[in-house]
This record gives sequence, structure tokens and C-alpha cells, in this order.
Amino acid sequence: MKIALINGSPKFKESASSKLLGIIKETATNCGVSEFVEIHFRKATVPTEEQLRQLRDADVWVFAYPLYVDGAPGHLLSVLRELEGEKLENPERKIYGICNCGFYEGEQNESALEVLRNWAAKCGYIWGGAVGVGGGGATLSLTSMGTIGTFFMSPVRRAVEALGQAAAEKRILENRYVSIALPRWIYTICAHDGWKKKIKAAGGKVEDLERRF
Amino acid sequence: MKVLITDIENFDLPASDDLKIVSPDTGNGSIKNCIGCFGCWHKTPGECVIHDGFERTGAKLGHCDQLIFISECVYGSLSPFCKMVLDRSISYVHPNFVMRRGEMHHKRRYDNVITVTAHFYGADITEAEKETAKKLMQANADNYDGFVGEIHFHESMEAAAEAAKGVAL
Repeated sequence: MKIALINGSPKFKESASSKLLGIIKETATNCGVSEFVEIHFRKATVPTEEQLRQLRDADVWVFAYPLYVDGAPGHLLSVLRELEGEKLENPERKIYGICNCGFYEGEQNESALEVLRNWAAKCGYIWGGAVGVGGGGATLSLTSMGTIGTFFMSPVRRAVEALGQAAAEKRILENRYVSIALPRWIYTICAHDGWKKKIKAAGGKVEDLERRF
Repeated sequence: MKVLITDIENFDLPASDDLKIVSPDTGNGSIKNCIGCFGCWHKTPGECVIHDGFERTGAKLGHCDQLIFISECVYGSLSPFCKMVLDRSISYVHPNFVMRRGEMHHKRRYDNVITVTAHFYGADITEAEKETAKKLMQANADNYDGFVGEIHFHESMEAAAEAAKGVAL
């Protein structure tokens, strides 16, 4: 039993997707899975022979990616098409997905996860289930905030752990949509405050956030 | 003004003041994918930080009333090229959030109201993919605080291009 953890975030540094895949790995390890392959697709590249070999050996693939303009990121679509073309056939292979968005409602990831499900159907793989995470923009900061952060992340962690357990057991799970436990109004204030700080740090003024061409 | 985003190379419709065409021929080579840096919101607000010829698409959207896609339908999504153009255009909206119809969306940066129309093509588009494509176009329109127009599915690129020309002209 080998699980492929496939990160579709374009970010080089740590991302919400990498954090969420970390929860999958931790949960699956606790369920007795010992073999993992970790693959990161940051660009619209053709998978390497080594990546294809690793993927061919795995009977469970878990994708995690950010929501980009309501859908899957463009570079990941390109990679998915390459993977379909490679015909890494295995009628038993199960596909699981995690999509996270900056919006508060995890439901806003539904169509982006449908794209992955449609791809799995075209490839002849079995759809295992997915989690749509809302408030993904706070994932990194909450996971470094200790007890209070752990509390606010708890609905997300529970849903992703359930997905990790299902993946470890090759079980099919209903899609679930969750949000962080931080109230929406606090999340919004923090996000707006964050943009003010970021533009100042970049040498701009707060009113530049409104700039039009 | 209309903005037409297509994955068709050498698209044979003349661009004008009333029609801006974004295609693989627009840039200085292959389009780069969005890297999730949000620089278009806080470093160079309104413009993508990657200068490959596609950095001002968000600004083009800020001056149009119709957004027309001619795109291969890829698993119910726009094609990788068209989606990368869209991913690179988030500067059309403001980073701050607003609530619309009970859901969180982005605040407007511009005042224009966009109607999104799409001509998808592909030889074997499934019913599930068509449903996903319709939902995605509606979601785009909702996030742009605009409207969704007609969504068509064609069996060939040529048929999609021909049908879309009627809308674009």
C-alpha cells in the first residue's frame, strides 16, 4: 500500500496545501501506511520519468491544491492532462482531493473538486472523496499559533483526518466542506488588515490597494 | 468593449478598440502560470508582477462589458491556457472581501459590469463536464459581480470559433 501525496500549489515555500497533505500523511501513518511518495507540481510541466514511476507504484493518489478563480489552477490542469495521456492504468486506483480557498465557505471549492473528479473518470480511476477547506488563507498562521490556533483549525483537521483515514483504508467518503472555526467577521478583519500591512511593507500606501488602470 | 480569451493560436479576428483578444499569440512566448504571490494586489496593484505580455489582462477586464471564452473544455474547466490567463487576472478584483448573497466574494476594483459568455469545444465532453463548466462560469460571474450569458458546447474548435465570432463582432 503506497500513497502518493500530490501538491498542486505553485508556491516554493510552505503552503496551505502542504500543511493539509501533512495531516493526511500523519493520519495515514497512524493507520499503518508506511510508504509515501511526495510530488510537487509548481508549473505546467510534463511529469518526469521518475515522477511517473513513483505514481505508477501508488494505488492511492491524494491531490491538494488551492482554489484559483473558482477552479483548479491552470498549471495543474496542464499536469492532469499530461497524466491522463500517460495512461498509468490501474482500475483499482483511488483518487482523493483537498482544495482550499481564501473565501470563508469551504463549499466554494465544490466545482474545483468536480474538475478533479471529472479527470479521474476520464482516466478510469475511482473517486474516493474530497474535502473543501474554507479560510485556507489562515491555515499557515493558525498552525503556528499553539493551542488557540489548534482550536480554530480543529474542524479542518477533523475533516482532513477523516479523508486521510479513508485513503489509508481505500474507502470511499462523501465530499465534505468545512471552514476554520475562527468567526467569519474576525477572519475578514484579519485579512483586510493583512493587505494594509503587506502594501506598506512593499513600500506602497494603503490607498494604492484601490489602484485602477 | 469586449475581451475575448481563447486558446486558439492565430485566431483570425482583428482586434480593435472594441475587441481585445487574449490568445497564445499575445505574449512574448508561453504564458507563465500564476505563482500565488498576490503581488498584483500589494506590490504592483492592478497588474501582475510577471511581465510576459499577459500582465495587464486584469486591467483589460476592468474596461469591458463582455468577457467571451473560446476554450477547449478540459475536465469541465477552461483549458490550461485560458485558465492561466484568468489566474493571472485576479487584479481585476480588490483583495478585500465583501458578502454577496450570503457568500464571501472579492470587492470590486472597477465599476464595469461583465457578462461572461463561453464557447467550449471538445470531441468527447461528458454531461458531468458540461455541468461543471456551467457552474464554473456562474461562479466566475458571481465573483466578478457580473452576469453569466450563454454557455455553448461544440464538437470542434472550428465550430466554437465560428459561433463565437458572431458574438464578438
